[in-house]
Amino acid sequence: MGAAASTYSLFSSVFDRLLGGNKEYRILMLGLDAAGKTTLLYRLKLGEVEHTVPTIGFNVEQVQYNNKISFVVWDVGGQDRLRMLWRHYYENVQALIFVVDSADIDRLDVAKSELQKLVAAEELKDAIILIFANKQDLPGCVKASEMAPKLNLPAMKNQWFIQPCVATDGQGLCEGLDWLSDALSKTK
Amino acid sequence: MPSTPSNISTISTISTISTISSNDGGGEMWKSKLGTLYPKDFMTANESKFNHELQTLRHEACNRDCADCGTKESVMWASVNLGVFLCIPCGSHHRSIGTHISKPKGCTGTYWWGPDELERMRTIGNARASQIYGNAIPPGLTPANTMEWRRYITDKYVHKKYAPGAAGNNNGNAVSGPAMIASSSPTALLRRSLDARTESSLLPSPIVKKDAADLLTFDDIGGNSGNSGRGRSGGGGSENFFANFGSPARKASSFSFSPTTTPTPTPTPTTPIQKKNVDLLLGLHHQQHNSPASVTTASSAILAKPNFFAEFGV
Repeated sequence: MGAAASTYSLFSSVFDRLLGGNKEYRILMLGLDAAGKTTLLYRLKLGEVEHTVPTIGFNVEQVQYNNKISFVVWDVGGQDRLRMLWRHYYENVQALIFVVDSADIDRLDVAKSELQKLVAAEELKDAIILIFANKQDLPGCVKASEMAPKLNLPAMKNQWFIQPCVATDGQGLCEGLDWLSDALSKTK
Repeated sequence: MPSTPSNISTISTISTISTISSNDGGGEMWKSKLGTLYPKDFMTANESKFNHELQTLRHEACNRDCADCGTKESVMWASVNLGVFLCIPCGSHHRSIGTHISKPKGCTGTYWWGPDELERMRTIGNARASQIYGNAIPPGLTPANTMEWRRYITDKYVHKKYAPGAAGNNNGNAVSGPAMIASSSPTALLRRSLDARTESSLLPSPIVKKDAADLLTFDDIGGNSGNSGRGRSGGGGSENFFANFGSPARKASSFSFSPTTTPTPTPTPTTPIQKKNVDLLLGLHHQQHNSPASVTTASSAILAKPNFFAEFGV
């Protein structure tokens, strides 16, 4: 819990510094099924995650920092036939968090393909993209630096950043959202 | 996205897949969790057939009890590489232990199921899996003991600690695991993907427009929006989320890639009523799609209500 508390205070200080007034950003969190989106969401919201159930539909949470900024994070299910619903959530999204299971090497190409479809969408052309290379604790996982070319990130026109993380214990989440808040503050 | 000419000579690049789609007549590909590529058109055209196969397999007597905990309740998940049907809690544990051990999928319509995956489930299934891996559960252990249970299923499937004939077990007669099943060998899978790719390039590409309005023709989706905790929405507990997804127009009578058995699907017409339902399902009912400027305001107003999340039990 100590790590989580310091994580939040760091968020708060960062946001306080960067943003004076009330800011609310609409964030869409997508990724293949079982990438760790819901775990990540509730790690951010509650600071702890026991276990999650597969998302059929979506989860939405307002993650607030120091009453000055809030992220409204939409976590939409990533199972095959739920992905066709993603486009209904594009509207007015300032940032996209794309979560990848770094150990699911066989499906990195699928993740890449889905991400390419997202960045090709007109509604998301200005969206800032944070990629979480999740599950860095699993054996055989791909490092974030190796993943960037595998996902073809350098070819993306959107502003992007890839952050290794372990959603189950919170490692790396702070750094990722730190970048996101910084990037969002510069867009206004 | 690189353009890949659809001819035989480039098909070999599938073995070192760099992208699962192409811009040409080959159409977009779908990849099963066992690694086989199928044209999306093929999957769409056959989805009701494949789903029917899956439901038949799932309801066979030998597959009705969860392969891990033995419950008969909500046996709606499966591990496609291990070839076992699981209850929802056990399926969730399989999701968390890593795809190098288990590749789980739901059976209630939110996933496509490829012929290779169906074949795996048919070849193994819960009865054979219990011969391979055993099904003894240490006394007192239940799926509710999260960490201990994950250790248990890792021991069971990776180390085969509970397999008949394993140290401490006297049953003998251990049989080969899924890795030894020939039909799923890498060569066979590659062969299939090549076949799929070859045929797909010969097929006309039916325009299949599927969106939430299609989904929202299901009686069992609506009405759950935001009622079931943590902002969750959608028909989580439904037996078949996409029960009506495959309209009769999309039915096909064969697994084969032959053009004659792949009908052109007809897009389902949408109506204003369905559109409204779409928004309910997607949790976007407070937004006004036709006036983007107002969306943020409407959304913020609702989300700013102090009790907004309290409604969801957060």
